[in-house]
Amino acid sequence: MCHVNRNPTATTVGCLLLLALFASPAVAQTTRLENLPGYVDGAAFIDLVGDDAVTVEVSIHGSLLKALLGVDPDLKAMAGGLESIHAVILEIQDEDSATAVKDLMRQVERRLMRQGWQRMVRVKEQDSEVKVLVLNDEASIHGLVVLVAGDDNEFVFANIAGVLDLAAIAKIGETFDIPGLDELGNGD
Amino acid sequence: MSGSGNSADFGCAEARRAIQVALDADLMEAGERRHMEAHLAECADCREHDSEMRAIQHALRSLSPLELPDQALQEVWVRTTRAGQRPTQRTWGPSWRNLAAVAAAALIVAVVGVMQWDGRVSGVPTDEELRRAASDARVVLGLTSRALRRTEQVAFRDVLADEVSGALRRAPIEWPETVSAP
Repeated sequence: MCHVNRNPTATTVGCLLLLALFASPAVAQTTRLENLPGYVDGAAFIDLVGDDAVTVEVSIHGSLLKALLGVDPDLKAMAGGLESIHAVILEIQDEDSATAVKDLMRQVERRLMRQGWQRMVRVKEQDSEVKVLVLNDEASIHGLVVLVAGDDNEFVFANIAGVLDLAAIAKIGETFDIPGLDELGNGD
Repeated sequence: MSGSGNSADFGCAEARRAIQVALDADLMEAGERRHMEAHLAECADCREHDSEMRAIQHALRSLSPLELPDQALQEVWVRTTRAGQRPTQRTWGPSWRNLAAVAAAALIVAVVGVMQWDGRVSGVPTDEELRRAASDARVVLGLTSRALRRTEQVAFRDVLADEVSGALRRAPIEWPETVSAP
């Protein structure tokens, strides 16, 4: 960046403007986010199939998450150690793209397991598949990834990072009603 | 090397280049191939070289493909992006025009900084942002929760309850009367 040689003045001004725009708290948050051990970027799924296939994209972290936990005591009680919440839900129309997303899910899973993540469960029923992976050390769980490939070509990537209490997070489903995603069952 | 040249000009060096071309399945002119084959018929060293190269190629093809480690990919990425960077030209010195431009840019930096401090660019989230974030967070956490409960189901119901207890029922064990079979 900043290697325009002909006009040094413009270069300097451009660089300072870029600094002004990008050296913001949002960028600092992004940097910290990528340093979170349990954080996994799901952008590759969107890059693969394009924005049209995205039905839900969630990205909550940094000051927004802190503020949210501050105003939602229920959420804070159940998931106070959270540092980021990310999810991508895709609805794919053509089979080629669906196959590509399934391949990417397998690659993501393999890559995470090479990085020390553990697969807690893999449930395969008919044409649907659910996988849950966690990153933990002796003391705590730092990250969780849910990968769902639905039989109706609905795909889910979800990642939560921070110091996680899985038992508390499991209870959240009792209070929240999430439509769709039948592959995950009702938790009963 | 020319496919139409005299075979007398086709020595070991030309033959070995032709062997490599043939192994790489590149296009080879008919004349060149004839020269190579004629040379191989006469030259034991080149025949041996040809055999060795074919053996190496066969051995390489029999290896299963290796997946590049993440670290290696990362290093390639870093080197590639560094290679694309050009050094900044440093031949210009200070002048009033440059200083004025820098001052103007610094002013803009200050204004943007004040806007950020004011919360309008990236500071405190608005109520609407918070409401939306709360809704989104509940969707993702609810989804995660259901996945965890599914995990619990698999662990306890499908594996422990059905599979293990079913196996125990089939096992030839005489249970004491005070203990009921699972």
